Amino acid sequence: MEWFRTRNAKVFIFLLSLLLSGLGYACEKFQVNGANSWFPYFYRGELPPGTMGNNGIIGDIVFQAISRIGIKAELNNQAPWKRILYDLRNGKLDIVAGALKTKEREKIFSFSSPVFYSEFRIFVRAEKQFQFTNLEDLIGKNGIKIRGMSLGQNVDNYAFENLIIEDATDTSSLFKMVAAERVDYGIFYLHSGLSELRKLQLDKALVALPKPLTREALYVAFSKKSECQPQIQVLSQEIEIMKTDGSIQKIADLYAGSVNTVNNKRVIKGHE
Amino acid sequence: MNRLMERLQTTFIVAAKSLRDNAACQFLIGSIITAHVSVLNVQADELFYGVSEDISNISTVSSSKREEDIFSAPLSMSVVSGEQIKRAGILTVPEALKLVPGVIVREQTNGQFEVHIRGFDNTPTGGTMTSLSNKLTLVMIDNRTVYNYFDGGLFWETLPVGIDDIERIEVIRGAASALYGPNAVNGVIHIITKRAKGNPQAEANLVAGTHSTQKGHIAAEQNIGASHIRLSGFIDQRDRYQSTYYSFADDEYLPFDEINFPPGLDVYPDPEQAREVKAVTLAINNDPSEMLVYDFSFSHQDSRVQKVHLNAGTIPFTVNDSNTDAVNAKINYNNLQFRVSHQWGNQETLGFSDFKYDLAINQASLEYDYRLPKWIIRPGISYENITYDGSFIGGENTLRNTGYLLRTEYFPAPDYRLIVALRYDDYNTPSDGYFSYQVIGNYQLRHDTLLRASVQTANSSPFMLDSYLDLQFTRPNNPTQRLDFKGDKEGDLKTVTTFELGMRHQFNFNNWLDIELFHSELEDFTAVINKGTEFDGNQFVTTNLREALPTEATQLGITVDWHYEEIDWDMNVYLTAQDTDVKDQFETRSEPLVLFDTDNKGTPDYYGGINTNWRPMERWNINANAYYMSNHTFILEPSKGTKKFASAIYANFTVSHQFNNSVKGFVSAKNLSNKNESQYFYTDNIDPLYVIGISLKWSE
Repeated sequence: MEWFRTRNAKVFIFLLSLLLSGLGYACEKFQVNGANSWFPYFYRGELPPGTMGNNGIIGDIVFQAISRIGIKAELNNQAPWKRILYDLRNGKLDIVAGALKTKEREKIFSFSSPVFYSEFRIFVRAEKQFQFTNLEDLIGKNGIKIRGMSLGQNVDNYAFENLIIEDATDTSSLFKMVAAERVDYGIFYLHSGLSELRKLQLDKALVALPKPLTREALYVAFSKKSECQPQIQVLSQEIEIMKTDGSIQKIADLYAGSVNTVNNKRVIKGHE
Repeated sequence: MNRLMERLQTTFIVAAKSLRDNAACQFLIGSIITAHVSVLNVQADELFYGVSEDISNISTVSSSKREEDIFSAPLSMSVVSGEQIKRAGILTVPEALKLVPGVIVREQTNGQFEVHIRGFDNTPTGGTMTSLSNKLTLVMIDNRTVYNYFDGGLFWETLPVGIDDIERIEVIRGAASALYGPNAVNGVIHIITKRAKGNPQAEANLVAGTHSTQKGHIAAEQNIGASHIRLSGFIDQRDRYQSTYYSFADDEYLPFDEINFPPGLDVYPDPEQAREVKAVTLAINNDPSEMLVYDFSFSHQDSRVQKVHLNAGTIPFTVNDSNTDAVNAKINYNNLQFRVSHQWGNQETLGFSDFKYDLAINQASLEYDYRLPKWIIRPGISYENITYDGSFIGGENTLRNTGYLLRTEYFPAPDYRLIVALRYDDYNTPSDGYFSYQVIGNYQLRHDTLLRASVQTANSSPFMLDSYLDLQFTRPNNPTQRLDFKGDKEGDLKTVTTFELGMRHQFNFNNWLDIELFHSELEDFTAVINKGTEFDGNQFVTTNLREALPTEATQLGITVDWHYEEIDWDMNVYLTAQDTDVKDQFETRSEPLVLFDTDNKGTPDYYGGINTNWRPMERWNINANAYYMSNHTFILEPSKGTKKFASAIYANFTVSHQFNNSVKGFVSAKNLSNKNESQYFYTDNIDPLYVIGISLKWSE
């Protein structure tokens, strides 16, 4: 069945290419970009030890899918996140590998189905773990999160009314302040957080509480102004195929090695 | 509350009157209304806000005494970063302030500047040369106040900070005593210096240019245990832009040896040299995320400069020596913040034997952050003990002040923020305490638009000369005449009240605008008044006493600051337009006083600049910036007269190239202008300055 779908897609691409070349239309390669440093979802440069991938889970998914449909891809230079979305809106970029979906963004971009999940977790000192089942458990404790980071409308509203959450300017400060007992807990993406803890050599001192604070689906975003619309359709289908043929799981496993080494023993498997 | 309502009422009456009387203001207000309307009609794209997967490059400021995003800063403020300074090829702190909206920067000679926030300079007019200098802006280095408590203002050359040591400079416009203490009358300039953070590294920065301009800077960083250590030092030597001086007697610029200096005033060891400044700083700190955070620094500076300071009578410049040391210790334990500093040394104006003094300035403060959901409460206490020992003030005298601070920040809803800061200063002189406040409201109209409104008061501190001036000066060329000067320990302290409306709007991720409309009222002036001359049996004694004046000044203005950024270029355009009026301006400072109302001519009505960077290819940066001041007139006491400054624009160009990870170089052309006339009261004409520099960096 998978073979049939893959083959159909390739035939479709071939026919489409013939049609478009007849019309003088050319989509030579996808222009791709992603967040500057969003491990393990999109990443540049040297990956953390124990990680086998190239550009983070969603980056690798996108590049593998593009390769599978036989189109070239170019990873654009590092740029501010807002600039990347601006270029995607204007068609200068075709694909952003890893983005959250909002109503506003849906008006301007098209999205794949969810390719992965990101969880916000509560990080605490290993010896100061507490029961966290709902937000009320955080009342009376001091927390910290990255400045400007939204935890979702419901959590944001509850936190504003009831919680004391300070701001950190960077991930390193956030975890160091938790470790130094300046605050009782820190809020951050699970996998990025675990990676940062290893880098800071705090992976023994801090742990993530088991219950996620929030869970957000991650998507591949496509430009509606891209000159490669037919190819984007095919790419989107290819990503669906990769979900079912286990390719995405294999990519996730490349990063799971690093995640598994921490004391939480968490394996990346949350994709649909 | 009634007083506040009266103030508001008065403000709007004054604003209305200014509108009626001043075409420029009409244009100004029209512009802001148009700008507001058009801004609110812009449908900014919500795409880019609220949700961001990118958590890097968060710019922060601490203007409200709490680190936050600059877009959310409640006060009128701007930041210039060390990186911006380097890209613009800037060599001194005051020069960097030309990149900041709402700041008036005038150069007296090569590397010597005078800086004002929003003006109120030369107000009231008709004073001595020192009345032109800024006494209304508080300057701090890493929270330590650096100020000239002898006669007010700041000796910029005494800052022990090299331009390569600066992390960023935050500039707050408007009265801010409640948050920062006395002398934050027109605003605050806070210089935040670099600290060692990571791997051991060392750097050297060398600059050479025309007019014998030479600068050298070195810095080294090392870790010892959990402590990060940074040692840095610099030397800055320059010649003046010209070899002639303006002679008041001859009303023209003349060579030094053709000027007749009275006995005792011919102390110009090197008339060609503009400045020679040396400083060294040692800083030790640990990781600011720790429960116990410490930051200790020691600095020493030694400077000799020519600048406009005292009423020399012959030429505008005097030569000033300063030799000071300072230690500053900041210790934070969780939310408790303690700071203590001690500065000591001596300062001297060559040729003025009475203007030589030793100083010792001790400061301490303790503040605590208490947080609740929707509330942050910050009580605090500060103490200053300032001692000067000099014959001008009749020996050793001390100014003491204990300040009590309460700052509350309340968030009634996610989009609203209310800050109330109260401060009471209890001085030893004057015996009256001074109360200052800041009430600031922020409303996040949309995700991309912030509206601000504030009412703020501030007062200056007492200065040694104001309080303790005690001088009997017999004219050397006429021993029958004696001038007596007396300060007033109970004299009023200058007080300003500022009303502001502001708006920040992000049209798009790379395009944002900051507008502030301000109205300030300055009152409680004092001046040394000539009470007349009497014969005491031996001499004709002219008595000069410091006295309160009914003089008041008001200022209405607007500052517009627009930023646009692309990947390979960025631009910042800023302009301030303001109108300054003086009520009860005196004709001369001799009794009987003749008072009249007037427009203040000593402050430019328009000033601002443009700063652009272009990165045409990797490793290259081209910076072009320009600074503009409209025409204004310096009016001093009749014996000095007036001097007009015609509007002028000064352009600077810098090309920098990163050769590799270790070597970077730049060339700059500065002060390219349509008019190179003196920017101050008959100081040097401002010549173009060409410099070349190289930076070497090593790191593990």
